[in-house]
Amino acid sequence: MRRYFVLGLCFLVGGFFCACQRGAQEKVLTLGAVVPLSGPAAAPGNEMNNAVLLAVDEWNAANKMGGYRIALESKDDASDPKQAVSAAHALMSDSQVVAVVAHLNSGCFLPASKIYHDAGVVAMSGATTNPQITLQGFPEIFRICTTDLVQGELTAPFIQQLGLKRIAIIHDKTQYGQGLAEVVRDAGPRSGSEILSFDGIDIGDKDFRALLTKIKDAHPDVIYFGGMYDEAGLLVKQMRDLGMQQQFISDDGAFGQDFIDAGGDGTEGAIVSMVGAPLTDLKKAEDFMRKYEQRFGVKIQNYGPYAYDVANILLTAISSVIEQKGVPDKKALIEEARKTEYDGVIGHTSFDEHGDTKNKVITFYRVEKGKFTPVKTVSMNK
Amino acid sequence: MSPTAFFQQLVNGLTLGGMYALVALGYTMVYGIIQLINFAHGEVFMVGAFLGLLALSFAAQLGLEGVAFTLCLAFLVSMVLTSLVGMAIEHVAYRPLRQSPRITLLLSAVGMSIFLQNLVMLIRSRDLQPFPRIITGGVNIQGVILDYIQILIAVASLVLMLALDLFVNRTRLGQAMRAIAQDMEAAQMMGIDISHVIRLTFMVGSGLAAAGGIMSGLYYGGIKFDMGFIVGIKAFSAAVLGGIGSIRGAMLGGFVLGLCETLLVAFLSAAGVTEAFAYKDVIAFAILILVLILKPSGLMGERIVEKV
Repeated sequence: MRRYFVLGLCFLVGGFFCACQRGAQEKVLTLGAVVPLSGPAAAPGNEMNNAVLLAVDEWNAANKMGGYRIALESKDDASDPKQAVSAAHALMSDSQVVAVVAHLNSGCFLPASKIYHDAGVVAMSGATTNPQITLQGFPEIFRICTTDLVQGELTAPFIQQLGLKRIAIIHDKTQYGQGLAEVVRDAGPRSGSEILSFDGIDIGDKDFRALLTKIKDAHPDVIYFGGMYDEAGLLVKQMRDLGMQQQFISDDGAFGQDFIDAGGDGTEGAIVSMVGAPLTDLKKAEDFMRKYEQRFGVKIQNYGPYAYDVANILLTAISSVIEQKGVPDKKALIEEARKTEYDGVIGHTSFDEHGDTKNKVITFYRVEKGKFTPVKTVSMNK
Repeated sequence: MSPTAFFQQLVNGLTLGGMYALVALGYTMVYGIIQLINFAHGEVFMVGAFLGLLALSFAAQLGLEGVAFTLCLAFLVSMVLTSLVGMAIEHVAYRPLRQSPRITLLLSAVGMSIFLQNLVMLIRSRDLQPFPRIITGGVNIQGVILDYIQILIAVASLVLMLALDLFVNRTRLGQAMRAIAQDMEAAQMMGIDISHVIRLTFMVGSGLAAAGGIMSGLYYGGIKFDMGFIVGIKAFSAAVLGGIGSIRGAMLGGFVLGLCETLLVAFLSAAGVTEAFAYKDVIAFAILILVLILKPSGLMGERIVEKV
């Protein structure tokens, strides 16, 4: 036992020296990632982190970063705004961090964006959809997914096209869920729908039967939910338990296997919207999904492709900054990121003056036999 | 509110209340006997649900059939194992601190709660675990839907509560429990093995929480490592509402809280209170505060005479 201990210690010390020596020769730049690795949205958060890891490893293997090795520093925001802020502070205190793959939750990115702005570091998100985030005038803040404004505006006419008129809206009182639900509420009457009710629920709560019983009494045609997968699944299950056969429609927060796991058979026929075009339409996406599955042994569910593209866009921009200046200059990176024209896994990305993607497309999926099947892709592109 | 909606809300509330009551009993029993708010009790509920899931999937692997049989088996296995978990918690986290100030015990309880939550998260998964939906369907009485699972929850929780009531009031061990609750030192002098009875209290409370956990899994169709937190808070409030330390009070408190969250909120909403459902917890806890102001010892609590 003792012998093994000494042996282990030798290895440890030896490894340490090796690491130091390598560090002296090699230039390192750090890519930050702040996503929920624990907490209620840990599943999509870990997927995002893995996708970023995949991108970083590919860049390191290709060795095209002007002699720099890329290190990934992942932080956990646990979907909690407070923790997001402290994670952002911790990351920004490290001057090696050149850019950040930022947050899954709008509620986290909104407060943390100020910290990235103050540090002058580019933070790009692939999943936060609250419109407010890019309207703060911070040049460092980007995102490649369409906003709730787009999603909500496109959802209202879609509901109308299904021939459904009376909408009961539920939201989860978060910046994301409630924000999106409000857009649908305001856009609904413009496309001829009637909004019957607008109610909030608590994240983590499990029993929504009381609210659903009230809604049932009002005889809606459709129930729209702005929120995440756990609550969406519970809602649709309890709707069916209460004998409510209405169409259930939700958002990109419910796009994932977890929604079907939580809702069981009740999810059959439910419709959810997801930003972007269906990934199956894109050649590059197939390639990425295969690589992801090979490496991590699980299938891509929702925001992995977005995180992968964010990482690649950032690393492409960093590499061209290094080409021009010889060092990963943070200020130059902001300008470089703004000029992005990138064809990635999710399609083409370029940014408008706010740092939002110009590619304003969303797709509606219907759950059929426990799988998400694309129903309709709609766009706001000019 | 239509009559159908009224009765549906009543059913919703009673089911919810039954589950709260089962968990509340654990809080109230432990408090009654060692004046400790066992904050880890919500996590015991969660562990019970996970052990129940484990038992059910094990039974499915063995190819056991029959809904009633596998369900009874799952309840039995989970309740027994969870009561052992409860016993272990008491042994590790509370027994060494029995002579310490209450606040130390309370901190130990909070620590235990965090430990258990993270343990299950690391062992199992962070994601919601689908629970086998082995009881489906229900009866439709004039538009009011009564799921079989709701009937099961109502019946099972009433049976368990009745059994507990009989146990505490009619058996020697129950008598010992009540004696310790009244005066620990005197009970010890009468020859009651305090440690033994405290251990037993934890076991019984944990077993009931496990039953609640499985019911929650069956009812909501999924369980998650953090499911114990909210239920724990609600059940604790139910225990306080009923009068902490009182067993029948905890049962009543559970049902009152369940009905407050459903029926009362529905009434308020029908009466024109906007967003009543968004603030159902606010309303439920406002009731709690109101009751405690009017009757500080809770609905069925007895006035505690200061020990001098």
